[in-house]
Amino acid sequence: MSPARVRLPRRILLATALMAVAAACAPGPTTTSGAGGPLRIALPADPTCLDPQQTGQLAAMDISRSIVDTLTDQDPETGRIVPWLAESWTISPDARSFTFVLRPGVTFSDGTTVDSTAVKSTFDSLSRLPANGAPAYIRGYTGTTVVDPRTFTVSFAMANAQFLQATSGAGLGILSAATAATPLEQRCRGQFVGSGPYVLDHYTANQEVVLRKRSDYTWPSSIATNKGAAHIDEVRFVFVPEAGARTGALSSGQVQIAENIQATDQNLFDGNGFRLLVTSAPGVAPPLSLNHAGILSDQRVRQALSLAIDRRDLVDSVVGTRAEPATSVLSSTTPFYTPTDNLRYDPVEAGRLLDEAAWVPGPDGIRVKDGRRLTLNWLIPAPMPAHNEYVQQRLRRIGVDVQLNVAPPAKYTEQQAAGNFDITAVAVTRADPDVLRNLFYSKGQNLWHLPPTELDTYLEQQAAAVDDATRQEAVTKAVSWILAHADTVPLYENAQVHGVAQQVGDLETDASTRLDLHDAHLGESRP
Amino acid sequence: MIRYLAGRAAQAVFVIWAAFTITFVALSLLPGDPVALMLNGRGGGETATPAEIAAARTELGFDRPVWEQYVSALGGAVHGDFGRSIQTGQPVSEMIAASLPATLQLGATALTLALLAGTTLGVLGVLAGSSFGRQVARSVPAFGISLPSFWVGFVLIQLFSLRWHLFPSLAGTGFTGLVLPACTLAIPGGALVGQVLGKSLHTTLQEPYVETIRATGASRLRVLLGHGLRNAAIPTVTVTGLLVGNLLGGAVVVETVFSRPGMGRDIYFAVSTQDLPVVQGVVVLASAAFVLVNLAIDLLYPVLDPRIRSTGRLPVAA
Repeated sequence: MSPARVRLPRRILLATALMAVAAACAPGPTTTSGAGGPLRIALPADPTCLDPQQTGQLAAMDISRSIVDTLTDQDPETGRIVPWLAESWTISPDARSFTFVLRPGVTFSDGTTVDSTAVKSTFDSLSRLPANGAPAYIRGYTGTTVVDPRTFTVSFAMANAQFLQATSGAGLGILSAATAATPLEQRCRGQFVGSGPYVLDHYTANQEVVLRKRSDYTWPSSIATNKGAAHIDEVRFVFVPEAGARTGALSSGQVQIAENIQATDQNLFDGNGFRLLVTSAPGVAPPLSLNHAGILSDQRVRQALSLAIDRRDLVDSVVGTRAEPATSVLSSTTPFYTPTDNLRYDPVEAGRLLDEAAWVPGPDGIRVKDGRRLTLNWLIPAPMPAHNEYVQQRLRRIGVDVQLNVAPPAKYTEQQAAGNFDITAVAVTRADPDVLRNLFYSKGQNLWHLPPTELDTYLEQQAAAVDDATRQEAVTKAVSWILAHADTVPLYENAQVHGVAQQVGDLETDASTRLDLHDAHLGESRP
Repeated sequence: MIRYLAGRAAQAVFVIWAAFTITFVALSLLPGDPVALMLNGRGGGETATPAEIAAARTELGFDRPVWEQYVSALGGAVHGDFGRSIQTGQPVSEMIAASLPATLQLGATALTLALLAGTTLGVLGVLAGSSFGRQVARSVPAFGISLPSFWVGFVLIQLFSLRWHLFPSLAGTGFTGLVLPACTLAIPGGALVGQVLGKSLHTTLQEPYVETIRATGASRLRVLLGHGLRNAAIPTVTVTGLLVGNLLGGAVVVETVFSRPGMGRDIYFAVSTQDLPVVQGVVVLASAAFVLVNLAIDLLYPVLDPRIRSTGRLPVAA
């Protein structure tokens, strides 16, 4: 028996569906911003803390850079330190005290004056924080002496030449005296007061940060093109963790700037109404950081690792065309960088060095010595970058077995502190050669267990050198020593790549690769 | 009835306590130190010294014995106070209050869509005009449930946002921003409802009594609406209870893909940084919601099926 069926009238269904879609169609999302903004910027993550004294996170600094001014600025072209809030300064011959004179007529956004007392409270508060990020730059701080409202001296227990460069970074931005009394977690959520061209309108966790310009701003850095208030009234940062969603938001006009464009998507934004803002990160070039306490205590093995990597090929095939092969421990945009020719690709020589160190190829091609395989444990914080597998394959060719040990961030930190690794990869972005001391000073944290050597002396010398020639000499000696002993294997120079819509003009980054929104303008708002 | 409710309430409290405790134990057993994570996550390449980490641990109360931490956390939780996030220093209750509305909005919309789509599919599976049409309607759920949410999200963004500019891909909190993420989140749930309802309707229409009713001249549609849907309601409602749990899990993926603020993103970030207070707060809230929804569903059964009223128990074959 087959009963007659009820047929659902299809046309009615179809019409209903179409009407529902039409009803849901609000005007398209593409937003065009007028000259006043808002300028919308997609960041890869919510920084969770905006206070420049408490976080060195790149995304956080892109925001706070516009809220705080600094005593000095660093010229991105030359690396020279130039006046900003401080119109002049003198450094004592022992590099332990720094006397600054402030420019007059500068006010915080709460109306109070930027004077010596505010600087003192800024540095006093910074010196009481855990020394990771900005507080590390004032290690050994013994205090700030207020000479008069515009003159003050910052003193240290030991030589601290890098302090001058540090005063140009947002981490040492000058905050109002009231800020020092604000609880730290409230400062994280944006309750800090600076004298910058923008003020925080609001910060909604996981959602957005909105900045508004200060119309009475007239004290930019001495190298700024724009001498007055910012051109853009409102800047909105949104957090878009998914790289694909970030590029989509930029290409569909929902944002005008998308940070950290993946290598695979970069060509989409090179033209077609967009441009790429490419900045080579200064500091220690992304390396293999080598633990000197295990198998890698043998210098010949370390040298073999360095010779086994074809850096040009690594950059072209994996890292991305906008990166560059490393030519030294420091990247080429770091002040006091000098090119070297130590980083050659010579797998034959690498094999010879391993033979010499009595590591001979075993049955499966992996080298052995006294019944022990040449296996290296590479500790990697998740997620693993693509180039790690490339390095693993290259090292396998010279008979080195690399185990990629990807750990969640919590475990990574713990394992690294415990020294349970042969290889990690730690790069530091900073436009000053003192980054070498962060990583290679055996009297410091010394995560890579370097033995005490002359290297410590060179690093101390560059930290104490007041004049450029002396500092250059010490930096060059330190870099040569590190490369000669293969204490690290520099791989490539990292490029930070942001996608920018054509309507955003004159957007640049400062020497520390942070966004400079003060000179930028939208559309035809050129002053 | 009163005794029944009291028993269920005790069960609910036990479930929430167990969820709280298991979370606490699991996160305490994980290797790694949330305090070190917090300090080093903010560094510009510098890492905090052991002394600094120890000082911060003392300040946050992590130096106390684990049982003592547990007792004080539980005591706080009973009063609705889950402490402060280790990462941001913000009170957990504030964080949840800020992100709950967005997730509730997303979850409720997705649940509504899932039920609508699932019911439509289930009915089409027995009523569509051609046998081919019925076959298609019956295969859609299996297909829908096997689609990975993050992939669906990207496809929807590509088509509806980037190509046709109908909806924003950076889902704000407005209505237009809700459409694509809710559709993405509704697909697995809708497929599940469609599958269960379709099977149940199919079984009902094979019953001998349907022949009798049909013999009185009632149309197939009438049989379906009058008897089929009522009989199929029990398993469908049960599945809906389970869906509520799945929605929070799905929100983790969907909120990340669509850059929506909400509890899904909170929990993702909190778990990866071992931010115990935040995880505890979200887990307690989620388990409370799950328990309450399922309690409400249990109370619905007697309304839906008179046979349960008399015995107080479900029939063996629902």
